[in-house]
Formats: sequence, C-alpha cells, structure tokens
Amino acid sequence: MVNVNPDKYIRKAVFDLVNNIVVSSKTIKCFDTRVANNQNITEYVLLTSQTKEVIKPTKCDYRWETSLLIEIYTKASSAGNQGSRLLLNDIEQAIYTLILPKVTVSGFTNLIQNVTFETQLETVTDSENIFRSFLRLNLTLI
Amino acid sequence: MSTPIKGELGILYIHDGTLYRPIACLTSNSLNTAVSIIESQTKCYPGEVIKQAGTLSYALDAEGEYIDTTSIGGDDTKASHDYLLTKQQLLTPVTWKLDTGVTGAIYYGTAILSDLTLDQGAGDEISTFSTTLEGSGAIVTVDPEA
Repeated sequence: MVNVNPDKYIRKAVFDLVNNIVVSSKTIKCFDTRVANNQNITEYVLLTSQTKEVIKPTKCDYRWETSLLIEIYTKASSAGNQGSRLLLNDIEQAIYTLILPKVTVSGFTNLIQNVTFETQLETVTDSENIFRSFLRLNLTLI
Repeated sequence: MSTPIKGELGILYIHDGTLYRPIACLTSNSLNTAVSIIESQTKCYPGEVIKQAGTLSYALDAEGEYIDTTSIGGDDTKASHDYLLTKQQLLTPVTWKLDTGVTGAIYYGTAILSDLTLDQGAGDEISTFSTTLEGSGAIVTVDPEA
C-alpha cells in the first residue's frame, strides 16, 4: 500500500523545474495556488488543482495515479498587446520542454507520465488582455 | 462467516531450479481444469447415452505487465516475459506453483510453456504479456521441488 502522500513532492519537483525560467527576456515566477504577497506581476505560473487515487493494476504493487494542473498566466495592456498570445505559447513551450520526458519526484518512481492540454482562456477588456493556458501533468507513481 | 478470497492473493509461480519465482507483474491468472467425457451407446441401454469420466487435463493462464526480470539490472527474483521466454525456448517442462490465497490450497504441477505473447503498444501504454502453461501430469498439493 502506498502510504506517503505524493502531492507536495510533485509540486516541489515541478516548482524546481519551472520557477524563474527566462522566456523572451522575462523571468517567470511559479507559485503554489496563487501569487504570493500581492505581487503585481504580469506573467507567472501557478500550480493549481491536484488529484490523486490509489490504484492496484497488478498484483505487484499499489500505485498513485495523480494529476497536477499547471496554469500559465500572462497579462498585457491592450495598448501594448493587440491580442498576441506569443508569450503565453513560449512559456508553455518552455515548461513543456522542462517536464519532459519525465519529472523526477523525490521518494517515488515516476512510472508513467503524460501531459494533456486544457482549453485556453482569454479575458479581453478595454484596457488589458489576459491569456491563460493550462497543462495537466498526469503521473503514475510507485 | 464465509470470506471471499481476493483475486490479488492468487499468485502463480514457476521454479527456476532453486526457488519459485512469482510471475510478474500479474494482472490476472487462472487455473482451468477439464475432464474429458467418454460417451457410449449400446444395445444394452437402447435410447440412452452413457457417459464416463475420461482423463483430467488442465492449463494455467496468466496475464501481466512486462517488467525487467533479467539478471542485468532487473528484478531477478520475479519472472516476467524475458524470463519466461528463456524457459520456453528450452522446450522442457517447468514446475509451477499456484498459491490461491487459501491455506491448504496451494497447488503444484509440471507444465509446458505453450503460449507466450508480448504486446507492446504505442504512447503511454504499458507493455503486457500473456502466457499459457499446458499441464502435464497431475495437480498435487505437495511441493515436488521440496
């Protein structure tokens, strides 16, 4: 039976990979759940919802089947950005590259990993454009 | 109170000359036994079919996820496709053990590794294997390797 909750170890592994990456000359910070300390930053990455389930697909061992939603956020003034999602795509690409082929999760063996992409969200107002992109990191750990 | 036996308790092993190795990683295994039927129709019993028990035969099937059980970096205390293939290529019978999870219901026998299949799909699909052991001789409850 798996008896160690993998949530914080997964977040730590992803955080260490993607925090403070430099994309298009911008340093992209990563946060757990929300931006800390009311920082007024326009590009960042959030580690949001996590799911996990204990499974036993074989008679050898129990496994954790987990997922972590990684949110990429960019905000730009409408005056400076007419609607380009280029930065969003570049951050997503950088993160996608970093988490491949397998994330190393301390204390666990990453048996199966795959990444799925959720529908992007756009919020366009008179003054700013907000683009959000989502990667769901699915890990099977033992 | 009767307690149902969980399937995960049933483990099929094969003997490697020293120890019984569990076939790994099993997702399912089964023991199939059958008795052939001898039918006869005679004038002594007109209009009736008389049936007699013939011989007992059996086979064991196993399916599992393919893991590395080679002696080069693998878990060589278990027997997955790689190990089973080497045994199959020897064309000699193997001694098997089936622990059903019930005390007093541990079975042994000798069998031929007749079928062995390795399935390897694309993407994130885990490689799997399946095998059939055709029983030779009787099923016994005393370890013949002891």
